[in-house]
Parts: sequence; structure tokens; C-alpha cells
Amino acid sequence: MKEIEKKILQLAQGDQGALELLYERTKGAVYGLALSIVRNPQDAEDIMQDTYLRIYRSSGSYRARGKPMAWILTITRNLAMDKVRSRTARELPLEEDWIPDQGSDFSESALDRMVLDSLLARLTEEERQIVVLYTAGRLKHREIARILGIPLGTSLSKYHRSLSKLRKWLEEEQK
Amino acid sequence: MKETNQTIANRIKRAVDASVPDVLPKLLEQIEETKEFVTMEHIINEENTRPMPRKRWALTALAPLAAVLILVLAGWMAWFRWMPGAVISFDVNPSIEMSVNKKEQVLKVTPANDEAEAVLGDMDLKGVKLDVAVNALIGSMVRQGYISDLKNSILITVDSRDAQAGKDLERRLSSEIGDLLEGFSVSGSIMSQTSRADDRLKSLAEEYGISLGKAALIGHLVESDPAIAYEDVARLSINDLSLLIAARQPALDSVLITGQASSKGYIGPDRATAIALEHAGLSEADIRKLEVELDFEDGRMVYEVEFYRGETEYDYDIDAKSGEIVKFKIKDKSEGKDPVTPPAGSGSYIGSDKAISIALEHAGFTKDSVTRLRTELERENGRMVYEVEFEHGDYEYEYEIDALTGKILDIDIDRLPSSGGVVRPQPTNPAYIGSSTAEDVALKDAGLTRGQVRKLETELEREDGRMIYEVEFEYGDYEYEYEIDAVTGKILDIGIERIKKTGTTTAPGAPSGNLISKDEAISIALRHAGLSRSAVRSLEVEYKEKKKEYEVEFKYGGYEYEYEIDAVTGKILEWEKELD
Repeated sequence: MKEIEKKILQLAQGDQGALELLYERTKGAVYGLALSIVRNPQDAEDIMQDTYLRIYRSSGSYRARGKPMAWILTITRNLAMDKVRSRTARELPLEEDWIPDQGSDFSESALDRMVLDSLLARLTEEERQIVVLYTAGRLKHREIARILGIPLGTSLSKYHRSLSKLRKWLEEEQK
Repeated sequence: MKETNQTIANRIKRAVDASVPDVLPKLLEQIEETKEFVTMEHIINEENTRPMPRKRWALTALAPLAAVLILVLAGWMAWFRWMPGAVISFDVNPSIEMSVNKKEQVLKVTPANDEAEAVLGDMDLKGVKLDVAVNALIGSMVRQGYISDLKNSILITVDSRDAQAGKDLERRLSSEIGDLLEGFSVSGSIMSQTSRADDRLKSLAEEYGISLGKAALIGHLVESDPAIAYEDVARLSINDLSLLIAARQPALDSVLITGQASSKGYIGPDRATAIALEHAGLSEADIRKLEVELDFEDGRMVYEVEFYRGETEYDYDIDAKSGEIVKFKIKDKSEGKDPVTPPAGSGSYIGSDKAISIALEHAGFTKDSVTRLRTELERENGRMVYEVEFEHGDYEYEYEIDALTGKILDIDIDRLPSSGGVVRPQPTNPAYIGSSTAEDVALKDAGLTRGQVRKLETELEREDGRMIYEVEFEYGDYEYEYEIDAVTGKILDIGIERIKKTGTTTAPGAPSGNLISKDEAISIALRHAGLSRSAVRSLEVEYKEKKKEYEVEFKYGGYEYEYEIDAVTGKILEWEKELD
């Protein structure tokens, strides 16, 4: 966390090289969160790019409080929520529905993909964010609760319940 | 492989990591473009502004009257197409929209709500000169009490096709209305901006039931601080927004603010400080480094009150209107010694000493054997918790303990960033078998020795309520993953996976043995860069026998990429991207 914070502060002082390191350290969490909200790889990619652009432009407004990931992911979340909202306004329901790939490939990477697909297709928006922030984002439940504005207990229990659901679905798929 | 919640979590992590696109090249390009654009815009502005000496505007805040004045000068009425015009909107809360032609004659006045109808009454402003119309409007607003010392904020939004003309008009109106209010002995606060009413703005205004001017204002605010969510601030009044914008550092250059917004609706920083001190059971003489700041938190305006007593930092968020304590945090900044004194009225809390002993007992340590011990009393979504943090061996422990019941709510054990190297020192809790014993258990089960395996890695983790060692290593084409009970040493789970090969053919001329080929090294680098082989120029690969590394270089999009790849594992050891 300290290192990420340092990078943001360096960026604010005009050190553009800091952006690349920041990017490398945080890209999985940023993309994962965006994907968990918009459920569309293209939109998630756009949001990812936009997130870093905003980090670059607004690094001066960041106040060091030891919670740089929360700041970054809040930016991502706001952008993603805006995207979802503007999409509903334009009524493009087809894009919204994540259609899982129905293959019979049981290689490990295909199974990984299958779990992610069923996460996107079957969990609620809140569950998706909790699970992705904890797994891909490596965030603590306390931090997740703060970002999503939910009680700590909710984050904990929804996380465990969601994983159990995903596990059962995967086991059924493999039968 | 038997799936557990942990393996599912690992799958999600891997699946996300595998699908992350590389937007860095595009991002850097975009940043370069913005830089050029900003520089150009700067030059143009300099040229345009130089011949016209302008007043310097004091940047201060505005008050609770949501008054937006929008002037649209853009020939949007068909018969005036040959004369460009503008639309001006005034938001005080009565929201009035006025369109004028290029000669600044009023073409149309539209009241946006009931209050606006009352302000307009039976005034007919059509064909009247703009300054006369503005005079009449503001006069009516003051007489009817929409602008007063308590609610003194007006937002003026100018929508013009001609950006410079719009900007000029915005400044002129801001100054004229300031003078008008002075004439009425009202110290008003005026925010002004230019904005184009596009579809996005219209749909936002409609969605939140706010005027276009307010929608644009919030747009400017959110643009300057992406951590603010549009929906959270949409409910704030023009006055709140004005106070918030005026307090921003650096200042928002897209919004011009003159005059001081009324904060009479707020309890004020002094009252907020008094509330915080009373709660902490302290007086102003006890504390140092007091800082009070008006901020916006979770949809409401709060005073953020911070101060120190000794090494203890107090941090309060106090609702700016009701004086309610929204959040507080007490943090002991000294390491270990001098535990937090619970604030007044917290007699029923277990106390930080008790919290520490609960955490230490659970982890199986004594107070002397840990370092960097810290406690914090925090309010977490309505309940008070002690956060106990300490380090032991290579691990950082973080406990959350209910301040009333002493129940452990959350435990986080993280490996501290290691100084590198494969050797893992002995852990931590004496009750645990230790990572090297765990590795022995796993290797024995697999029938392998340390010398035979690659990438041996062990992590202590909490899973489903118990502590486990996760031992991972690679042998041949397979990756092994063992889960071992940290206390009993029993094997709980074994996973063996085939390692995905990046390419199967060995290119001629590649070094022999277990090394990856030149082609594989190239694909690893290209995949990381998100580029295809045909897209890049000057592709070069070199094998460094001494280091058992490949050096891959290529150029793309004005950049030179350089990768160092481990010839045994295929891992990217270092990469660099430089402007060519």
C-alpha cells in the first residue's frame, strides 16, 4: 500500500514513470472490478483506461491517508456505475447480459474461465464486486466494506456464500 | 481436483489476471495527446485574454439558494439562425432559463419550476434587453425572499456555440449580478460557468430531477475529483455545492466563484470542534495540531475535525447541519506503548489492553514477541471495533475485535514484503509446524526432493476457520499445490495441474536442455505487451548464457520495449518501455 501511495504522490509531482508502476501493481484489481460491474470486456477495458487517465489527472487531489487502493477503486467503481447507468438509459439490454461460454473444455484455464463466467452471469452486482475485490483485488473485507458502503459482516458473509455457490455450480457442471 | 472455496477464489484471480488487457500503450499515447492539447489551449487563451484586462475574482463560496441563470446564445430558433445567440440559466432554486439573440435581446423565458413561475409573475420580458431582464429577475427574486442573507447563492450557466463569447458573457453577468445584489444590500455569492447542453447532460438532469446548470456544475466537480460519485452530490443544494467547490484544492478553474456563500445553515467549525472534544473528554488545552475542514462524506456535508493528544490521533466526522458524530477514529501513533484511552461514554468497551490480549492469545504470541503493536478504536458501520495490528516473524497480523463483546470479527494475516530469495525463515506461531516442515510433508507425499522441484513457495493462510500452509511447486510439466493443516501437518488437499505450455515446437538454434525457446521468449514478451508479432518492428532476441536469460527487444507505437526473460521458467524478470 505504501508503495502505491508513493507512486500516486510521485505522479502528482509530475513523475510520469510512476504511472507505469502503479498500473502494473493495480491493473488486475481495476480491470476485475470494472468487469464485475459492467460485465462486458470492451466496456471494462474502456473504464480501465479511463481510470488511469483520471488517476493521472487527479493525482494532485489525492490526500495521502494510507488508503490508495480504496481511492483508485472508488474511481473505477464510479466510472463503471456511470457506464451501467448510461447504458440502461440507452436501453441496450443485450450487452448487459453476460452469456457464459458453454464449452466442454475442462482444462484448468477453461475451468477458471467457467468460474468467472458464472460469477458474472449468476451473482448479484454486490456479490460480484465483493468476490472480485477480495480475490483479484486482494483487498481486506474491511476495505471492501468501506468502498461499497456496506457493513463488514455483510462483506464477509456474502463472500463466503458466493464462493460456496460458485463451487456448487462448478461441481454440477463437471458431473 | 476437489474444489474448495479457496480453489474457487484462486480460479477467479487467475481468470481475471489472464483476461486483463494491456491498456498502457494506449494510455500513454492519450496522455501525450492531452499534454499537447492543454499546451495549445493555454497559448490560445493567453492570446485571447491579454488585450482585455479583467478583474481578479476572489474565489469564495456560495449559499443555499439554488439559482441558475443560463443564457444560450446560439441561433437555436430557426428564424434567428443568421444571428448567433446564447441560452442563460439562473439557478437559485427557482430555475429560470432565458434565450437571447446576438444583440442580447430576450427571445424566450422558460420557468423550470413553480418557484420560477412565481418569480416571473406576469412580467413579459420578450424583446427586452438582457441587462434589463436580469435586473427585473434578480429584483423579483430578492423581493420574494428567494435571495437573502441565508440563501445567497446563484448559479449562472451560459450555453453558447461561440465558446469565447459565452465565457465573456458569463464573466460580465457574474459581475453585473454582483453589483445588483450589492444594490439590494445582499451579500450574494455567484457561481458561473459555461456549458453545452448535450444529450448526456440532459439525461443526467432528467435522471436526478435537477436543472441543466446544476447537472453541468456537478459534472465539473466530479471531473475534478473522480472519487466523488455523481449520485452522491446530486442531492446537495446549490449552496452546499458552492461551499464544497470553494473548499477544493486546487481550485476548480471551470467554475468562477465570487462572494462568500452563506454557511449559516451549518453548525460552524467551532461548534464541530467542541462536539468532538466533548466526546473525547478533552479540552482545547489538552490537544495540539487541531485541523477542521468542511468536507463531503457519504452523501452529507461534514466537518472533519482532527487533533492529537500525545501520540494519539483523533479523527472525527461531524454532520455539518445536525452536529451528529458520523464517524470517529482514535489512533495510537506510538508503537505499542501507551494504549488508547477510551473516550468518555465508552465505559462499556473492553478496552484496548483486553483487545490486544484477545488477539495475541488467539495468535498464540506474547506481547514481547511481537513488534509494531498498534490498536485503533474505530466505528465501523454502526459498531465499534478495536483494530489490533502487529508483526511477528514474516507476517503482519490484523485483528478486528468487537469493542463491546470482545468477539473476533476479522483476521488478516499478510506476509510482509520479503527481501527476496527463496529461503523462508521459520515462522511464527509455536503451535504451527513451520513452513519448511510443511514443505517436507508435501514433497514426501509427492515423492520428490527439494533439488528436483522448481518455484517452491509456501504461504500461511487462513481458510474456512483454520490455518493452513499452502505449498506450491513445479516438477516437470506439472504444478503441485498442497494444503497442509498448520497445526497437525495433515494434508488437506492436493491439486496437480498441467502447466500450460506457451509453444510446443523448439526453434532450431535454441539452447538445449530444459530452457524455453527463443520463439517462446518472444511470445511471452509480446503477450505481456499485448501486441502481435506482425505489429512490432525491429524485433530482436538474444540469449545470455551467463545469466540464462533471453533479452527481447522490439519497437511499437513510438516506444522501445525491452524484456529480460528467465530462460528456465519463462518468467519476465524485468521489462522496460521507453520513448523511442
